Amino acid sequence: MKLFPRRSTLAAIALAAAGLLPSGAPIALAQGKTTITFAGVTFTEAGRGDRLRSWVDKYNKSQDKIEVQTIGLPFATFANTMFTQMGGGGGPDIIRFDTIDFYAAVPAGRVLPFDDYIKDSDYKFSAPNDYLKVNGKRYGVAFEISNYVMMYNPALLKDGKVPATFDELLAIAKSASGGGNFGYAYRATMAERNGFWQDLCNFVFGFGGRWGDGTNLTLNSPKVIEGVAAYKRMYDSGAIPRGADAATYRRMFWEGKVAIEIDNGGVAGIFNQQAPNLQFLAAPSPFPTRAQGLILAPLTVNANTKNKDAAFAFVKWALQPENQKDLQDILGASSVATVVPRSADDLAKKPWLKIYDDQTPNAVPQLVAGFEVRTPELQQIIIEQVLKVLQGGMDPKKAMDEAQELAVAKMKK
Amino acid sequence: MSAGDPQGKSLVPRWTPYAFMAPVFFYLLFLDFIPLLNELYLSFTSTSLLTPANHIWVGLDNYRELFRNADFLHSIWITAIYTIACVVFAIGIGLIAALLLDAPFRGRAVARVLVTLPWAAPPVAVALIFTWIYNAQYGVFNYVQKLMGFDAFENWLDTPNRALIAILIATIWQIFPFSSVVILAALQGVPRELRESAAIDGAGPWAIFKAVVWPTILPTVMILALFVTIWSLRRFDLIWLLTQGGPIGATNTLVIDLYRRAFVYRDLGAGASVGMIGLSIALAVTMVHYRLSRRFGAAGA
Repeated sequence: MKLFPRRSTLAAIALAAAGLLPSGAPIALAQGKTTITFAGVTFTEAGRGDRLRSWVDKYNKSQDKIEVQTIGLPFATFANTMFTQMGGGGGPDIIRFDTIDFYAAVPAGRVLPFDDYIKDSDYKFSAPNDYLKVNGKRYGVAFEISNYVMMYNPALLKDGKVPATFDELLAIAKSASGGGNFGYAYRATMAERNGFWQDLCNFVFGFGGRWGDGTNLTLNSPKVIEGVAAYKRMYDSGAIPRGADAATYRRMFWEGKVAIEIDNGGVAGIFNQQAPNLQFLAAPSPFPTRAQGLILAPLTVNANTKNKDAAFAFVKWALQPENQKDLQDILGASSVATVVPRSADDLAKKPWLKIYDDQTPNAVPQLVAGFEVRTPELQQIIIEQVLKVLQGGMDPKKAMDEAQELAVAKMKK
Repeated sequence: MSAGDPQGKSLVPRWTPYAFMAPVFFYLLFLDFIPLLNELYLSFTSTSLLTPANHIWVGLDNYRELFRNADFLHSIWITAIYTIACVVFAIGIGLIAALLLDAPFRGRAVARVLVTLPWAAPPVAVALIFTWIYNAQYGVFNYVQKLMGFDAFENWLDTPNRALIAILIATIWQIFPFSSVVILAALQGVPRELRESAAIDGAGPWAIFKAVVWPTILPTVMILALFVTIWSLRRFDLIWLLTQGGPIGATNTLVIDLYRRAFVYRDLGAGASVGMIGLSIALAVTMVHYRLSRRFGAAGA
């Protein structure tokens, strides 16, 4: 008796081979629909995730040929998962990247240019969308543009005074601290490296510093050093919950235990959804200049996609005015690819929206200008040197001089 | 004599042993050996995670670069301290716990279960628990220090000269139960008559342990030491979740360094060369272990 009849052996081989198909292969459903996939961190977020899935479902209901399936992955592993899949010839068809990963994906040929499908002249794109052009070619449109401004709990500010300078911020944060409350909160631990970087960029940009001028690194320029020194002054002020991670201090903020923080519009939207009774307000960040970081999350199309037309059909749908408005409403104080005016009702109910919207002309991507692709390596050097200032008591100038030296040597390799 | 029919012909086809061995062979070939060869090759190339099919042959450059890099040498040092401390304390505390749990007392079964619990906890949960324990404002760790009259420290995980100790406390808390359970099992194999006759001869508890118990459980402890060493060399999850190798490289072990180079800097070539160095260290440890085992075995015989 044959142990494995030929027919069943062949069936087993066929099944095994089906399991080995590349993940980017097109999937045809029984109804004849082409299914494409759309991956993003935002689909995992509390509150916003479900609403974004509903937004995608609206597209699916309007279609009889294409279906978009959403894939949510956590922030910490998103880029690595995407790049590993893309490197293997697969990956989702549409990807919502963060800027830092977008700048790595473009020169590696991992995302498709938009020029054959999306004409700039057909849309009223906002200014940050220009950052998504590389060598004159568009490789993405903004899914979410999120600015950073100062948010505060008015009830915790003594005399209701809102800080307009860094010295005032420091004094008010100290006076609001005590009895289990903290005056200010930000990240300063290696375990939250990316968040630490975002908060540090706000201080450095606010003091007029930039990590690069487009050609050279400027990690030890006087303005950068001023920003780092300010970060240290806040660290030593006794006004921050040291070691608390962002999830914890944001919760403390909406529970009325943290007076001030500088955070992005997405967070303001989450606060509004999670704690509708929270009476928080916003104001421009109290630094010498209005420049602050910018979260620019582009919608891109994977170069491995077998469904190029379907992917761009979804992008075109996403850019239609009514769908942009719906998306902007879901994203809270963030804005979208095209300019969508807020309603008077929205502005009256959420006065902080206008402060976030007004910040757009001063928003700067959290990248090292001229060294965008290598920002992760530079980020590591800068953060380690800033930690030496915060925890080792190193002089900010000495630390940033060392950072410049290490970074220049690294970039030569 | 093999099974056969009356004419002396085997009923088991000649290929049967190969059929049984084939799954293991192919498993090792495709999931261990070929990936390992691929990693070895990658370590001699400049390869980006974004374009893994494009390799540029660089020879020994990745290795040269690593051994010139003070941060990498520091990570070897941190790995050595971490591994040795894990082996000494996890096995030491595990041995003490096993000896206590071996003695008869009321509630011993419950105590054995309780001791095993940390080993059963997933590393992600352990990392979250210890993040809160060490929290400077709300953590139990600082609270206890204040109660004991010490000045409360900063969050240990954020302090360069305490972060490694903090990571070690978390690691040892999680892994010592495994040592304890394994040693406890070995203790069950110590002949009761030997202990009793030693006691009749007037030997005290320490002398009995030294002359009777220790020689019996030594082979188990040595195997355990090998396992704990290799696991410690490659432990990633707990360290990454607690500190990501920081602050300022204070907990940057080889595996963390590998991950950062391969997946944060997206340099697969450099990551692979760190991996090959880690593998060489693990192989060296294994060889030393077997040499020592042979020597102890010969001495025992």
